[in-house]
Amino acid sequence: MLARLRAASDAAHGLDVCVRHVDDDYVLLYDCDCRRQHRHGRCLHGCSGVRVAGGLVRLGTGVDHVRRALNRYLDADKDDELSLGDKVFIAADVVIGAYDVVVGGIDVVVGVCDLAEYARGALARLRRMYPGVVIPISFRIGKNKGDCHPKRIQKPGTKEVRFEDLPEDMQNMIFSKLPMKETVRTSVLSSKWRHMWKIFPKLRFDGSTMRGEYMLEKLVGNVNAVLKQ
Amino acid sequence: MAAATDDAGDSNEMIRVVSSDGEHFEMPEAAANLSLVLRHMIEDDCADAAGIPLAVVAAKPLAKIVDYCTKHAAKSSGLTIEEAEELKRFDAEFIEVDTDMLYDLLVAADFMGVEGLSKLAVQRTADLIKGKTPEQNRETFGIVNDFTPEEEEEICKENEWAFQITKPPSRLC
Repeated sequence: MLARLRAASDAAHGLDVCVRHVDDDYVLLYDCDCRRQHRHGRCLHGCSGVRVAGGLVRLGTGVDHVRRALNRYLDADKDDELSLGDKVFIAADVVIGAYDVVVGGIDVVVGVCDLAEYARGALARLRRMYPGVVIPISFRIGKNKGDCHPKRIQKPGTKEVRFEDLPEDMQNMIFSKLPMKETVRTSVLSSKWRHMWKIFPKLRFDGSTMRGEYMLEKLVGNVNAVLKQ
Repeated sequence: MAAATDDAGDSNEMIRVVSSDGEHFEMPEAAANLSLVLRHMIEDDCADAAGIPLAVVAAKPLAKIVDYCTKHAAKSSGLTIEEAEELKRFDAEFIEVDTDMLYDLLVAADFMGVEGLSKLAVQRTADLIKGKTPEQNRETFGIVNDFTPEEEEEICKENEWAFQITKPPSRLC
């Protein structure tokens, strides 16, 4: 997740990250050679940050990221604190990340998006701020789900409770409330849960990881066991 | 007319929201402001009589969220000790829900950006996991164990320390 976000940010700032559109999905390439024709899919290298960002957000950065990006945007006291790239990226986030998206041409198609109106406002604000700059986002609200290949990150209201489908950020928040030991123990619940705890960025080795005899040896062993994975 | 109330901190305006299944709800603006998404929409003048559509939040969790926000907005600043206690009691009671609703609340609170509720639901989820055997957790969260006994053993071995309990010796895994 974090790696994805970093790439998203890099891409938005025009760094050397390429996104390829393959079978309705987006793939990240760090060493893209654009002179070579991509056999599959469309290479978005060299496209505006917005389009790249669109593809990236489609990779599943999720609402939470949009919200945080917005916070960054709103928290910046001076306009200069954020580059135009950042702002465009955020606007794209707002437009796209809030819901399903497909990036095609210059248009961004927003799904049945309840944030569409909000996104419109954010975009208008951005355009007012930079009257001379062309911000190549336009969007429409898809009438049918097929308009935008909806791929929901989560599906609320379904009968089956699927905690493993929660956004990663949320899973991390839950794990952060658990002792390390309990977090690791969730790996045995099912194959979906097996590696879930490993995305949790903070490894916390506290008393519970080193209780008993030979404390130090044990702690070292436990730390090694976790880091190996 | 609306502009005149903009600066007044305690505007009595009611904000309407519409759930994914088309139900309408109303809450005071101060309550709606607890949701980042709604707050921004209000700031951007997107709140009108038709209501703000929330396409991924169904009526059941939305009703709960409206309750939560209304209660918390009414008691946001200058809490006395008793009021803080009462709010705590409200939260504890509020989050006593089944896992279906808990999941809906987690997703909806995250989507709508209601920080307090996110925290509350996350804590509740963690509390449900804490101190339980894997079997109990599977039952609570409806998780199907798709490991063979051998695989299960292998995972336990990988992180032996986490599955060890010093006392009393009972089968955890």
